[in-house]
Amino acid sequence: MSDLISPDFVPKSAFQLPRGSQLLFIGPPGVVKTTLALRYLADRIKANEPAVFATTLWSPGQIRQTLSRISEKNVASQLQIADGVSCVTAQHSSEPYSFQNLYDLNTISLLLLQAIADLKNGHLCLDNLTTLMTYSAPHSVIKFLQVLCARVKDRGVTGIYLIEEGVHAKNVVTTLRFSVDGVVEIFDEEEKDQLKHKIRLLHLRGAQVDTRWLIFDETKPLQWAEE
Amino acid sequence: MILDPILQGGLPQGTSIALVGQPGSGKTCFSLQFALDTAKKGLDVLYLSTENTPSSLIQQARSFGLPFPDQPGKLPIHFVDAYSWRIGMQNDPFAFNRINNPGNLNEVNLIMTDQAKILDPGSVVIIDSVSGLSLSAPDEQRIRTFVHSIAQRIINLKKILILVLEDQAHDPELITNLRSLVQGSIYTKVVDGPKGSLSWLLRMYSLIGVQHETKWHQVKIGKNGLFLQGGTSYE
Repeated sequence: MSDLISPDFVPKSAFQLPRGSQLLFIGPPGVVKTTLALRYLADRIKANEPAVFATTLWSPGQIRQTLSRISEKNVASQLQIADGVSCVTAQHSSEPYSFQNLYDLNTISLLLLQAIADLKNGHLCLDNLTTLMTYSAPHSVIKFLQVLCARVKDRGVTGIYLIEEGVHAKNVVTTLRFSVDGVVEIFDEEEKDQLKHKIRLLHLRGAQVDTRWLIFDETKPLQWAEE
Repeated sequence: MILDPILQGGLPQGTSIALVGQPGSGKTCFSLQFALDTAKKGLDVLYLSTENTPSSLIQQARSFGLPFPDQPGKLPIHFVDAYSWRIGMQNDPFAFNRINNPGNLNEVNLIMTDQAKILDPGSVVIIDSVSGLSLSAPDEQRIRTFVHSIAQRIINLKKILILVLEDQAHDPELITNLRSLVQGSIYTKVVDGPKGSLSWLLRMYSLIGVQHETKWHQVKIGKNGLFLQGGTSYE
């Protein structure tokens, strides 16, 4: 198995992701951050690599539904979900890993590490840090992410962490940005009355990246914006 | 349904959506029309009002030409009155329930989810407005956790939640944060039209898991209430 990951839907020239990279996806609400992360996980599941999706915002059912819409049917059943929603709705979770609450960051960190403990060449996505900051002070979440990233990386698992743009103080986001290896920015732009989603990999430690904008369309591979 | 030009088949069951716009941009009007459409399909609506008594809401709706009956109990739209406590008023004839302390967000959350529980899937819960609740709430932090919790609960009950937010009445960070805690956003605004007139516009900005148009649509009043006219371009 190669140590560089190049997902099928991303142009080869854009980047190759070193295994164990920790990435921050940043963008305003409603700009397909979750869909992009799911697309990446679906791509990895198809390459027979295990993936864990920790959700604090969408229920496991909704995640699987979105995943089966953008990918093949059997992919959704192979995604492991760490459920951070049932604790909010005061329900029993049918997922193997479920959060007790959203404010005890130590327990969440341990739970996520437990979920990825046996994953060889695995992938972890946490959606999202903004919800955790709804329940805890920003500096606790910063510390949480620093430790989590280091441990996830140590286990050779690739990590993706989602955060909302325009919610947190600038210095909080900047601190989070240097806790990770790379940052993916997602924006939308008006084009002929419709909104278009644009993506770019801003930087990535230990890899060469093409920082030009890519256009995201749910059904198509990513395409360079000016072509 | 008013959203038909944007979404075929309407909002899916188990959805939470923020309705964001400046004061006077037609948020309440849209919410009432949406309630009316839902009631016509035979589904229930739970409508929490913090800025008007239910009677005055209905009066407003009727003055805009929305076909609301002038007698209570004709439609399955259940108003929860979180306004009358302010003026120490007796129960409103159109009120189905009343909240005397909207600053206690846990209680608001429980009252709304408890009542939503017995309704059919696809029923609608409207909170008009979160900004009104936030004025009585002790701090912003509670508003954030309230929105996260009620959104998850209503989704879990397979209902549709509409949260009305006053744009520019809060820090932009708070609005963005609240929008991030729900699954989608609808924006409303008013712009200058031709010859000194005003145009009311509405846009489905985002909605996870659903493909939709993102154009601005013009909100018009017809003989069956509000409808959307699309396809034109607005800045």
